[in-house]
Amino acid sequence: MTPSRDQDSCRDRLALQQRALAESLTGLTGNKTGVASNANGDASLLSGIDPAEIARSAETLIRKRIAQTRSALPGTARILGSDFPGAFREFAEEHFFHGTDAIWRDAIEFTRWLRSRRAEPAWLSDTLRWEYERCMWETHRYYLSCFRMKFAVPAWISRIDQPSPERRVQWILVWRCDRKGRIDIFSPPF
Amino acid sequence: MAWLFENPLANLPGPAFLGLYGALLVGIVLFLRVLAGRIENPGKLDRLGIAEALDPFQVAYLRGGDTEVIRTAMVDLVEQGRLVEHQGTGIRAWLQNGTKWVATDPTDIGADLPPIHRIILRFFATPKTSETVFTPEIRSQVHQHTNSYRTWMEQEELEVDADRAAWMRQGFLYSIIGFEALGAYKLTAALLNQRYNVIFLVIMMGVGAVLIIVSSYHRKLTQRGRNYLQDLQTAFASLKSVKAVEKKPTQPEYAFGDASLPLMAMGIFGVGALQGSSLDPFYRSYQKSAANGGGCGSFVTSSCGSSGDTDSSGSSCGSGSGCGGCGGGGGCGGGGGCGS
Amino acid sequence: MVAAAVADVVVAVAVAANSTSPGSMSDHQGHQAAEAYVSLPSYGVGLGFRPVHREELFSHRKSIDFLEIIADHYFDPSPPKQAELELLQANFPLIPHGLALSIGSAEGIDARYLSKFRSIVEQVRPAWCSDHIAFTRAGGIDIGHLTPVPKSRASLDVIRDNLRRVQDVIHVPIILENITESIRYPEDEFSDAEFLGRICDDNQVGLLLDVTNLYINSVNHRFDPLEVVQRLPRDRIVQLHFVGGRFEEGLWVDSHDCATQDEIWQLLEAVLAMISVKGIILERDERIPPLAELIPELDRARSIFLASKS
Repeated sequence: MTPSRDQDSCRDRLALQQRALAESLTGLTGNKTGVASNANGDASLLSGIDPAEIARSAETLIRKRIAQTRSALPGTARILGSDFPGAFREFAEEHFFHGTDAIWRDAIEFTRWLRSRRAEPAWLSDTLRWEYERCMWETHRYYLSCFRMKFAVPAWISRIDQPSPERRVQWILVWRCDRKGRIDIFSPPF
Repeated sequence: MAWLFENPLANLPGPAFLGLYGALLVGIVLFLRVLAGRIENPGKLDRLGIAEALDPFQVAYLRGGDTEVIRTAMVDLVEQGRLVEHQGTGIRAWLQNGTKWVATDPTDIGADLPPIHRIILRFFATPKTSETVFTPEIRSQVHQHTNSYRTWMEQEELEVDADRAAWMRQGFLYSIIGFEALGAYKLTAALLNQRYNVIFLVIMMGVGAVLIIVSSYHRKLTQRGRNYLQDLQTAFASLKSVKAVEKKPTQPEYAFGDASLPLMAMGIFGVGALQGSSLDPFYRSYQKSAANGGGCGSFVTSSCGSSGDTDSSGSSCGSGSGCGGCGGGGGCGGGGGCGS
Repeated sequence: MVAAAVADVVVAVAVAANSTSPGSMSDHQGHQAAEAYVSLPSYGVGLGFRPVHREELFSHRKSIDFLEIIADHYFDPSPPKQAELELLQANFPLIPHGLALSIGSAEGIDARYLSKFRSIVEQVRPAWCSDHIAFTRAGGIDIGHLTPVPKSRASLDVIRDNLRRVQDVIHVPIILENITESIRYPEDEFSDAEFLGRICDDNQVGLLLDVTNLYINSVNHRFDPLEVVQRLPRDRIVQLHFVGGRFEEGLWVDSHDCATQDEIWQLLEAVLAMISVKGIILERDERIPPLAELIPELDRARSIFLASKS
């Protein structure tokens, strides 16, 4: 075997090892990433690495995601309180996002996921919708959405001394167009 | 004189002339845009750093000239309790006499205050509606005391130079006269030659005039000036809503020196920043005056000095030509911004 | 003893192998690279910029000599983020710090990420830029977390090739940061110092020495941090990072969420007594307090920095 071939085989092995490690850390398999994985079956790639270290790194990663999602969804985090990490971990078992907008995608998909699972308190649905829209606004250059809320969630999120939002029907128009945009709030009729 | 309408240009077929005319229009538009670019970017290209201790009046001047300085000074006087409502008929100046605030003689008003504040207080020594402050006389008096701001803006190349602005006016004038004169000449020649299919030429003359007007537009501030204002508004973005800052349990440590938070917000963002804040009545009076075309609402200031546990009220507004509180970067904006 | 002797043999073999490696730098090139890093401007003590501090920066300008920005936060910026970048650029020297170049990724550099990183570097025009000795992407998975690479020749090859790709498009000096070693590999062929030194020797690259990470690794993996520093190419250490860590379940973690501990201050002082750097950054990421609470840490770092210069 020539030296360069030897180098290539070392590099290939390193690539497979990194892939196996990435899958272990994120809890993903090749099927979930949509890419066939050669690394999965080969347990020897990670042999010699302390499983406790891998578990600790995976835990650090999930905690990081929880912290980031919590800061992207302050209202949801306030409602769920200490249940937030548990709910997110449940969500994370089946969801992992890549790329520079992964934080936002975690937040967006988590609100979607929660809406199908929880209904209490009454303003949770409005809070999830509001924060979903906010994340969509952040991540899209062109965005338009209109929806109705029964509670004054935006004001409540900014007031930590207010235990629950006021009941007030509002129509919300969210728009963003290229380089300009904001959220305007209209009370009906508008 | 027959040559006047019997020459290659007058006889140029319609489509060919329109092509030439269109090319001329493109040339003029490009020329005017280049000229506008030159006068908005005179030399200094680097951005101006934010000063360590900001002067709200200097920033207000940058944003809206003398008018915004007057309005900012009024906010300062309202905050100090020196401008208050007078029996529902207008506002007037008050002075502190010992431990009490009293209406007093205009001649010794506000000797401890900066000259612009004194001008405004003297003006309100007798009760008046607040829009009357934007008179040519007051503007002229205030103008004399804003020299240092003008010098600063000139030195830092924050404002378009007057001479260069004159070039632009001349460029615009020659361009539009030349363009329309050529069109008119061709139109006359066509009509004299009994050719009446001139609708495209007429349309092009109209569209061209609009394009030339639009192309000759330049801003009052240079690119550097706009960048500096944008930097200030980005650096202190939360001041866009004084109400939100006032509600925070702990407020950020701003680099404002002696200036109060509402005063700095007024300087950087304009009166819109006061919406919903402790100075909301001032904001609403502005809104009303703007809506009424110069009419004046009322506002309430909180305590008046040591004797002032009671709320005093007064009215003030900005109106007339200076109603540009939202100028220079969007002080007035409804809705909850959803910035990142 | 036997293990140590074996390790020495491995190192010696590695050195010999590397000296003939076609990708490695010649002595002359290495000398040039070192000179390039020595001639970089000396900034002093600065802060890892976090948007929550934006409004307070201007009341503490005298305590902040420069800012390190997270490059990834300004990729495809929204208008407010673009305005923020322009504001910072107008008022402070900026150093872009990348999170996911994934220099250690065996599958190579992500072209899209590199292009975005380049656009930030071109806009900011910094004296240098930085990223980590780690991989964040493998098998199509963007982990979102800095993961250590084995300290092996295969890793050195990967890093060399990836750095070449980066340096083809980014024309400012690049410095690489040591991370906490949350995972240790059986394939490790080099010690920490040897590995970092080899990365510098093989490439025109400087080091961003994270003193906190060095401390954490030294405690968790039981080695003398100063010995590591002593064996590093000192003229390549351009910048330092420091911040408080956290001791959890018997291990130190780079939590970046508390005031710098005395042990880390002592290490910082000892490191600065041994080497001269161009800048030091306080890198607080979590539980971020008002800026005023961080200023004493910056001032303390500055006094150590200035004392080391004199």
